[in-house]
Amino acid sequence: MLGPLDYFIWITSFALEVFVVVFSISRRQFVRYLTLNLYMLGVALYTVGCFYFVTYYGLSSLAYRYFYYYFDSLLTILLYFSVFGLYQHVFEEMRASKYVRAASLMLLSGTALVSFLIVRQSQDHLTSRFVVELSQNLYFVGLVLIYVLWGAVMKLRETRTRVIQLVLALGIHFSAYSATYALRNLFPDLALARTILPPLVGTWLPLAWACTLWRIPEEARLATARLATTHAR
Amino acid sequence: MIMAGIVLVASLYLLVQFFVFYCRLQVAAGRRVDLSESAREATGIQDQGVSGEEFQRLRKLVELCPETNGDTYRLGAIRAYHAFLGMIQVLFGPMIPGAAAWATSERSGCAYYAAVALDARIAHTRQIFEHDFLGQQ
Repeated sequence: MLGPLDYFIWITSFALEVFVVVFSISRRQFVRYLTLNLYMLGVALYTVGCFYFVTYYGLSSLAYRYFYYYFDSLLTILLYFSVFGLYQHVFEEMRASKYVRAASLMLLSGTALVSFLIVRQSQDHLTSRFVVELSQNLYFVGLVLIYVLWGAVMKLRETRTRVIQLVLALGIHFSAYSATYALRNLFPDLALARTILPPLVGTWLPLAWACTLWRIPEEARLATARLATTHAR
Repeated sequence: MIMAGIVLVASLYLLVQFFVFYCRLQVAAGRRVDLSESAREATGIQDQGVSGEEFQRLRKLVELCPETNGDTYRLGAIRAYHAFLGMIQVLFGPMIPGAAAWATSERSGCAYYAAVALDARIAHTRQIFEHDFLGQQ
């Protein structure tokens, strides 16, 4: 049974997701951050879908569970595109978008192939345990990708505050989700990992991206060396 | 099970790392802002060298003013970062003096960040007063 706090988090997340997209359109930045906006649009639809399934089928229904986990896996793959969108921003000046595109297609094909093989092998026991494991692995792959991107940001001394902040927010999102799913895998009955953490972690990314796009102007610059040194001043 | 354990440990380690970098970014951006005269008067801060112990006092002052441009979530993150740094100081300070010095410097940055947030909120409150209150007279 969902309480008022759950509904509040749900509505807040949805409002923030819509805000990111509308704000980008209003500032003519929708195409510049296309993959990020598409992901936000996808998450907003997912939020509406979850609400529909909970209302008509119930929170503990099998239909809701299937929708929740499988749509989440699809969104994670969509999020990979956001990561590659950020890779393109970071490697923009090196004119390496061709290689980034090729790498993203390879990774996507690889992920699809591995997922297909896993699903085919486990089709007789496609339980929620299986989808939790799949989500954990997908988020962990995303975490590795974002960590590599963060390494490139530091190495290339990226100065665009907005890009740095978008990358770090995504890093927190991937690591928090990956840890949550791993926790669920280890302790299936732990309420913290089942009901408390997922909605909170889910709110983080739209909140951080909304604040970044709203508050940090495109031209803001900050030396990454300030973040790497032990004494910032 | 082993895989899930490895993923959990690695994810938590990277979560802390990303969180620290995210907060350092906010603190570094805050340090680039000069405080206005009114904020200096309200806080008693003369230059950027503010003690990390001042953070709680400054945060309470920030809470007295209305929210500005949705800064509450970032202040919340800085508050968590300040507490995290306090933990680092207590746990590793006696063994690793470098870590303690770094934590002290960052806590000072957190306090300065709170002062910058207070400055923005004072300016915002003044703006509301001038537009809504004085405008009606």
